[in-house]
Amino acid sequence: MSKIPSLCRLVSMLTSKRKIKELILLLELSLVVVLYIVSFAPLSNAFYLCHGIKNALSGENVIYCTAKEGSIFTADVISVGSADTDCLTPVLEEIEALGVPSPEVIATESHYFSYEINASDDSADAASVQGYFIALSPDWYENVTLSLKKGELTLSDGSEYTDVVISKGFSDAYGYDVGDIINADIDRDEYNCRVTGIAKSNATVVDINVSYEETINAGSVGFNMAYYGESTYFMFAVEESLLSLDTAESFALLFSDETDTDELATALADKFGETMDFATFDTLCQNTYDAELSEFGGGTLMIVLLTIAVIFNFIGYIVINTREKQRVLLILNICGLSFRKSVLINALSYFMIGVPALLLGIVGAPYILEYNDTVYYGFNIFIGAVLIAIFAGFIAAAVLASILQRGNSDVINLYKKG
Amino acid sequence: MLHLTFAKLSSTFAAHKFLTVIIILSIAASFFCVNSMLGCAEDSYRSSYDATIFTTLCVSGHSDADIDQMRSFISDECGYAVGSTLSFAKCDDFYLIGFDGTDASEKWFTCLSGSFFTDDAAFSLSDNVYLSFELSSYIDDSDTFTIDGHTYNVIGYGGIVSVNFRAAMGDIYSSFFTDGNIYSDNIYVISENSFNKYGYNADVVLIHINGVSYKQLEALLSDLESRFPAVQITIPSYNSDQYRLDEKLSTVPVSAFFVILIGASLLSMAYVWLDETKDISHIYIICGLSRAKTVIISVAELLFLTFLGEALALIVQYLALPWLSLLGAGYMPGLQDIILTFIIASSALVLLLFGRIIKNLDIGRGELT
Amino acid sequence: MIELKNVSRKFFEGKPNEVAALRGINLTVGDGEMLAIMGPSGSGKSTLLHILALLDSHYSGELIYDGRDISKLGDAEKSSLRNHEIGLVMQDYGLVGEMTAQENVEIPLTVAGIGKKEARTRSREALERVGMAHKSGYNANLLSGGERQRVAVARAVVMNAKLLLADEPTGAVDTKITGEIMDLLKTLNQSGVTVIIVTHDVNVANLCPRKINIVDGTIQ
Repeated sequence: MSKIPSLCRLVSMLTSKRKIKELILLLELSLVVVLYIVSFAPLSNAFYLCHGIKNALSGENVIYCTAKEGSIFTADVISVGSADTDCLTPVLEEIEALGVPSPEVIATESHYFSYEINASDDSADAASVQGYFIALSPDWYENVTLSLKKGELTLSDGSEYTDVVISKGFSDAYGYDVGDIINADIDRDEYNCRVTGIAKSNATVVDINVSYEETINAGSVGFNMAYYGESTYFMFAVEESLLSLDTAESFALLFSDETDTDELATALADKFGETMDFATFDTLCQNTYDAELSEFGGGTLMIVLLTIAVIFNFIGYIVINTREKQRVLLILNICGLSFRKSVLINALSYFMIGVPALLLGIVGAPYILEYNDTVYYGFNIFIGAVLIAIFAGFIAAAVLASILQRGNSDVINLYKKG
Repeated sequence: MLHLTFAKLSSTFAAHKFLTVIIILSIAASFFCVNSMLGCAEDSYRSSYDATIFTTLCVSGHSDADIDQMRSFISDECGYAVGSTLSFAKCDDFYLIGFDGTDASEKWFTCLSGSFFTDDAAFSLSDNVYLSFELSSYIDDSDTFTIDGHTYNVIGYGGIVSVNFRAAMGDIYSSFFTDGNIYSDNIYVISENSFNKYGYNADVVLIHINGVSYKQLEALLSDLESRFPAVQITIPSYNSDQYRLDEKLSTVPVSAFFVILIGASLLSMAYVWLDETKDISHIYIICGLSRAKTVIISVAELLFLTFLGEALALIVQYLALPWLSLLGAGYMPGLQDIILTFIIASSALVLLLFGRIIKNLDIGRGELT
Repeated sequence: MIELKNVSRKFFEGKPNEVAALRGINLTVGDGEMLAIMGPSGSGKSTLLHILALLDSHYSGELIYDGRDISKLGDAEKSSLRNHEIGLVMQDYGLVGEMTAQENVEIPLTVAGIGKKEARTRSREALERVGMAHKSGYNANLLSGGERQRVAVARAVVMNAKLLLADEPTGAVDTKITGEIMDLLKTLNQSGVTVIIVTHDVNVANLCPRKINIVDGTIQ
């Protein structure tokens, strides 16, 4: 233990007196960490979403099935939150015939709706907006983890409202906040929806099959788990683009771990493909990544250029630093510092810049993302792996530089040159 | 003096290979970042609405043969690439648009359902039609549609971006679409192939030319007017070059950031490099070279290193173009941009290092030992 | 104290520009001796000093230190020996300009893992020994040539080194300072430290009780 203070003093000898250069490098590195986190945010989000799906599933395999237009699923009355699964009977019978244990069925609804922005909002356009939402039954979300803004609004006029959670993108685009009322026209029935939460995700929906035999992926595909209040749990996911979706019902079939959902989904699609679509968890994940990657496109170039800039910045720093440190290292060599210790303290001198920079970057990145209004679900293994790779590269380069430095040291040259 | 510059440079390189190479590579990396961002800007411009809509020729009062000859003239003689061609025919109850092209469809049409002609080359070859979305509600059989006695397969439904037509056609737009407002449910889009097949004569034709600048468009207009004096040809009044320039300028902050990141270390290394090479400058001075000429040689060295860096960056960018295309930066910078970035980079480098160059002219006591 | 047996050192061995810096050097230096190694430029004096300072391992022959053959020791052991037993004074002083005199003298103590408090005390004592205690807080690059050399000597003896090696210690100073430095080295020698000085200055060599000449890598 007594060696540690002397080690620190040795490391301190290798750094500049006023530590300005080290501070500048630390800030540069922190900025680089922030930029990497910001650039990788879409991929990280996709990873988070897929992980969230998996967490909510608690190890169960899921097949999502949605109805095609004109199929047996079309319902006249939408009972949000109900689980009327009678229309799934043929599918369930087929599953049983295939020898697969019956799944738990969760009803989800996807609907086409339009609404007019509140006339009282002077700044808004009086355009109608189309979109769709998914209402999920309450049983599914017991241990979800995302937090939401919770609203407490007591309505005095006795109107009945459906509680909904809206996506952040929807909230930002149309100015809805917790407590606001959205009038949704669903299948020519009017629904009053009260916003009780704003989900982090921009748009997360199951694959939706539209009436023209095309599957449209609307924004990110996946589930954003939502939990709020003590009663009904809803997730209200909105895509801003004009999608002409007809009413379609969708269900999630939860199977046990042993079921091969890929094979089952294919078998069901073969039989019921004209009226329904089936998607497995992997499909959702892939769609989630694809959707995020399509937004990520420009980010890849930034990351490539940033990496190039960082590499050359660091090479330059090492080259200059090597020169400046060389004399001190040679003097330490003369005073009896071994090769191994020399490499160690040299590497530590870089380490003491790298670690704070990493931490500063990790702490600062969410603020930058929030400032830029970028969706970011938080630190996860994906981002962690990226940062560890940067950090490890930095330290490896530093250690290599120290080995080369000490290896090439020549005391004769030191005092011949002066 | 040139031989002195190269002599000094080669002795510097011999004495400080690693440092010189790192400096050149750092300069090259900076240029690469800047050029990639310029490529990204060009990519963004070319895929933008403005690049398509405002690089169009609007032709009227022509014959069919005129259009074919015009297209040949534009591509074969002038060396430009024709993007897409839209032919407009005003029929009794409807407007018919003939589309021929492989790009830029979404600037003219927003496909909401199904496909557009550019989605599959086969669509251009048979009798297919793209209809306005409003029609989807009225058509019983969504697969076929009959207009003017001809039956077509419906490939898709969507919208017509009339505002872009207006921008591209200019005054001709209001004279052609005399109704004032365009009701999209009486505009039908068929392939150019069918357009000609059923003998429709285009009243107006829009020809989009890929990647051409506004100046080039003006020159092209002049050439076409002299070649086809009977035909009325207009170009949009909006100068899309400004947009192109805006796209390039928008890359400046990001490019500057990368350059500063690399430049911080580059400057430090350049300072060291100048220090290491000052002995050679001193020897030249001792041997009779004037200080002014010594300065010029030092500046020339820096310019040469910058030139090497830029050349290397361009070579690397050219070789990496297939991958850069995937990242949305698939264009090399133009000659003007190359010269401009070289001037800016070399000026900055010389200015920032000039003080050190001057300082190195002083031969102190005890040096040259 | 230290014995070299048939020590040879070649540079660029096997290459066309091979140089034999030392050829079959046999040298014995007893405890408490003060030895001057003289020779023209390029004779191998500095090379010999490097080997004695355990900074150069690429030689053939034996190096016996206090009865132990240390030529085959690893880097860690040689470094430890150099830290505890050998002090080195160089022509250009070998100080870190941005550090104070005291901090420079503390370097071997820090390398040895000695605590800050004790290091401060011992470095102060070493500076007092060389007459530089009053400038312990000055940055090394603000000291004169003679003062810097004194600080370098203080650093060389702060670990109570038994062997002090000086490579042209007076090469960069004037005659007056040369005398002061040599007096200092003599004082140290009288206190029991073995001193080996490499020099091309006859006057400096004459101040040493024993002198050897190296010419073309061999002792004359």
